[in-house]
Amino acid sequence: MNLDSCERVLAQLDWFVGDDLDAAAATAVRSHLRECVSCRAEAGALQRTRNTLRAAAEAACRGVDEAMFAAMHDEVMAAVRDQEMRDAAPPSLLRRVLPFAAAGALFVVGWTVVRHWVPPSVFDREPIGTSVVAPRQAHPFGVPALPLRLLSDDSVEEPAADGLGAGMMGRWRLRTLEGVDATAPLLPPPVRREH
Amino acid sequence: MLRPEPSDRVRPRPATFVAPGAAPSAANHHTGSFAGLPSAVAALAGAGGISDSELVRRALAGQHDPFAALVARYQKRAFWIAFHVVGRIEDARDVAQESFVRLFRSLEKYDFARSFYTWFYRIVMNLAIDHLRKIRSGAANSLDDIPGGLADSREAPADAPMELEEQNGRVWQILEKLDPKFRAVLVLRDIHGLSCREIAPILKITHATARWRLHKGRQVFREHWERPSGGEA
Ligand SMILES: [Zn+2]
Repeated sequence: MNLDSCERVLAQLDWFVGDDLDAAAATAVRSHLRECVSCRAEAGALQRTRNTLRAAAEAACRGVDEAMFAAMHDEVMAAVRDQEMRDAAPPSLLRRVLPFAAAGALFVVGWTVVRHWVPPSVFDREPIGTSVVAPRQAHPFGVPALPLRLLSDDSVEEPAADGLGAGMMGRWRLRTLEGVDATAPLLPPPVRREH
Repeated sequence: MLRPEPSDRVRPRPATFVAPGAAPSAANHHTGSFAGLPSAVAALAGAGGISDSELVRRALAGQHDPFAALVARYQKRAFWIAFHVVGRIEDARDVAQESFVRLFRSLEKYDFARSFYTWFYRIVMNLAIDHLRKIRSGAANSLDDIPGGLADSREAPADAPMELEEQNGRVWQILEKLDPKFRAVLVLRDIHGLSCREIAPILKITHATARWRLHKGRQVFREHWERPSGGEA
């Protein structure tokens, strides 16, 4: 027997024994089995295992009979009717009242908390620009916070040497231009004409 | 070449598993007689001309009997699938019952374009696998410590040799050890005879995954089965 064909048949044997091959393939396997002892032995072993499983599954079970199934039918229908009644029944008083009770309780708790609370007046705050704000400990953008300082003449720094300075708003640049404006030649004073 | 499997809608594949004590059904997923049921329910359940979808439609219209007929049609199958997954009669009954309650609650979500049994088996399987995982996670319920596994809850025919009983006990012991995802496919294919095409939507996996799990599950089962009994612990 050709070893190559044995290999092919062995790969199909499980499906052959399980009756899952089409007619042509099954015929080919069957004719191989007629000739080949080792493949036939393998097919026999597969068949026996299958039969054993089936036999165990089909063995009679104590207490499983028509009477058990009739009783089971009654039980199932009783359970189904139970379920139907539960689905059809209006929600119990407790279940109907519960959402309102929960809402009421929440309102009372909220009211007791809020009742004595007075919103802080805007006049209680420090006037803007009079206090030094302490450096913040948390930095939402991951940069170290700088202490904010009052903007006054004393604290205005000199622009950088390149005249551009720093700052997104280009404040220093503007100030520098002011200086440039100052050095621009002035227009001649208006001449008073005598009439 | 693998046999092309028909889609669910074209042909409900006859299940190969014949529930013990239940009359075999030739072409339906629901099995057997409807003894002990009210005659109206039994008549609806047994009426071949009334499809599962039609029963769902009538149940949605508020009638009770059609749903009772659906229960009658599928309770045995639900019980046996659950039993083969969880391995205990009482648990399987609980799973089957819960499956029908879930079914009832989600009836209006049923997609009439799809087969009823695929949808219902998915409910059963999900509950059964959840239940199995719960059993396994509970240390007090560990089945590894029970010699013979579930053999005590099962009864071999009076004339059966002791050997057969032991053999069945070993099969259940091995199934207990199998990963639930392999066990689910093995139960549905090799015991209940569903095709991999049918199994895939039930377990919400692809067809290829269903085939791979089946192959792997069979392999693992066989490895355990062929191991000497002493090595089973
Ligand atoms: Zn060969």
